[in-house]
Amino acid sequence: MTTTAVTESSTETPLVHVEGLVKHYPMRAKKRLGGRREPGADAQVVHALDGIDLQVRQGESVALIGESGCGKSTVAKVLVGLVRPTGGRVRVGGHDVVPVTTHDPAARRRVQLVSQNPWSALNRARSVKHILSQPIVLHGRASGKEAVAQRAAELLEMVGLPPEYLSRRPRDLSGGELQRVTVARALAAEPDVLILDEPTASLDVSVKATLVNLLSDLRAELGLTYVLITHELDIARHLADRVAVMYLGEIVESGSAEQVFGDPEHPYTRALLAAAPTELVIGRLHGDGLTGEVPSAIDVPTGCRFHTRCPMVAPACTTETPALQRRPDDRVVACLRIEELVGDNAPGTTTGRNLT
Amino acid sequence: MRTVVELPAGQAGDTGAGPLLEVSGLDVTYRTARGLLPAVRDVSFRVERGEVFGLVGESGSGKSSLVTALMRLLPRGSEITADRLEFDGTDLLTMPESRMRRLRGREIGLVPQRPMTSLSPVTPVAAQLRRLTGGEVDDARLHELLTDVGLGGLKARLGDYPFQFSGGQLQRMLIAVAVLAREPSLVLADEPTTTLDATVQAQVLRLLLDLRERLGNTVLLVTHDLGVVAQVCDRVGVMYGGRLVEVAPTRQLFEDPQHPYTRALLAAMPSNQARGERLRPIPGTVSGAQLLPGCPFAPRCDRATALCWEVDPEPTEHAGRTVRCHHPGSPA
Repeated sequence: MTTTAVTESSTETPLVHVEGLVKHYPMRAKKRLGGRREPGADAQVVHALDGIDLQVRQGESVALIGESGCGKSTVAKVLVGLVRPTGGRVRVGGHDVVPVTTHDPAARRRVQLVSQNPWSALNRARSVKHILSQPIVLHGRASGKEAVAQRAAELLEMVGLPPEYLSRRPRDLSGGELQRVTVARALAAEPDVLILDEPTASLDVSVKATLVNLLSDLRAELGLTYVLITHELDIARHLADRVAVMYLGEIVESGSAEQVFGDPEHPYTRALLAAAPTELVIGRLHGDGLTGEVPSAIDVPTGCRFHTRCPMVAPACTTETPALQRRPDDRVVACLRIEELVGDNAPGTTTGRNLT
Repeated sequence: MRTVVELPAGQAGDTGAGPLLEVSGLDVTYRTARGLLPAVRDVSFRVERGEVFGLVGESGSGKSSLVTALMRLLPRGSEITADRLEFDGTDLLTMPESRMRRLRGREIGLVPQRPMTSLSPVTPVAAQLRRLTGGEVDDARLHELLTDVGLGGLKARLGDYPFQFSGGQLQRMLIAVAVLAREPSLVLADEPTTTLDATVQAQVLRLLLDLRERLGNTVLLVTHDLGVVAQVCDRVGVMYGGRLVEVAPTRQLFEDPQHPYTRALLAAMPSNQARGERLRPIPGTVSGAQLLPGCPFAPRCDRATALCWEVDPEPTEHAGRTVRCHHPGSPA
């Protein structure tokens, strides 16, 4: 992907500013029996992210969507300082994001993470009170036993749980309640930005709706900025103002939620939406249009990374790397054939088999 | 493509009379440290030959217990009772374990939820796939089977281990041996696409439907995913608190749900609300629903009356489907 990618048009300085973010994981060299390394084996790298540009303005909610292996969770990890990028720059509020190994909570306080699986994200041995008190104390949001306990109770109230829950342990809580505790814990630091990494993926439908409503309320009340990482397109549709679609470590299309969900342009976005439509389809299979699966991030395809599965592939796509280019409606798309594909006579990319 | 939805019962793959699976008054109870826990309570339904029957419910609804009970694979200490539990006219409850063992895999095939964890990580896939067919196939036949599910290109890699394949590839392999190799008359698919990516999900569902068309088998699909149910099922049973609360043809269920739980569940789906509108969660919690003397949904139901709290409603025919509710009906 080009490193001189188009930047999103904006009048103000973005709160979250990601520029040319690259994350490569070197493969551990295979060892033969006897401990000798195979020659040349250590040259391989996993291309988790290859040049991501992302800008999120104060109070905005941006979703990164894509299938497993597209790199969306790596972006989340970089943003909270859990992973040190190979290249590029990540700034929040004008300051570089520091790794969590740096003992500077003040620098990290502004970005907090809500992780996917509340069962493994919370300490099972400790009470909810303890779980919430730790970040309050660490980030100096309150001091003294009573003030901390009171703040913990306030946080619970913010996520819609009664103060009695302070004395409970994670095992006494349902999945939806646990996820609300992880949200409360993230809010304890009084952050500007919440990184929501698949916040609803492990929840039942009836509970999912509660969490989505809670997240949109909190954003309005506290003026929070969200970076939402999800494969659930209908959750992104409800929570995001803007959407970036990722494929194999790159952004292929980025625009407003209305643009991306209502009128997708990149062939991959179209295929993804056809496979996971945001409205209910009765009596026929979702169109897949795609054959095969996401290629290996070790051995990424040449040219456009999507060319191995793209129904619209042309010879040039196998050699030429498409840059993100701005479209007339201000979204950006990385596709060599975009001019031909979008328009009145553009061919559809997917077909659903009609069963009825 | 041939029309397959709403086949008259007993048309595809019809070899005998009556439904392929008939369940009546099924109870599954677990003995726990804190006493008896009823997981499935008085469930009755039939799966007709050749149909795709969906069993849908949220976690704790009892759908997995029900399916495990059908295979008679429940853990020790659990109890199954039923007025009737018949597969292809044979009583499953009184069947000797030796006969049951022959039935599993051969007549009832299982497509598991997590292909990665249902295979051993330390044995090459070829050996495992052969074993799953009961050792009845050689390498040439195995390759043929895999080619049939679109995995012919993997011939040279069959000595590899499960982690070297993607979830979608493993699920296709398991479908090839569970469905194609042994041609069971009933395929139990337990959340077959839950762990797969969206673009791969569609491929796996298509494969299951294509094989059903070719082989004329019957599919019992268990899932929490209403989107999957809407796509592939002919009829759907909705479970809540161990009860089967509504059974209806798919389109009727989604377009005009009659049980208040079904209605609330569909209303809670994010896809049923426009962007910018608030979602409609179901108030309250499912916890303890199985233990209630009355209707399991009464504490969360907007139509509940004193009767609902006291008396568990019997399944009744209503608006062309079976509903278990004192106050069934379309939304006011």
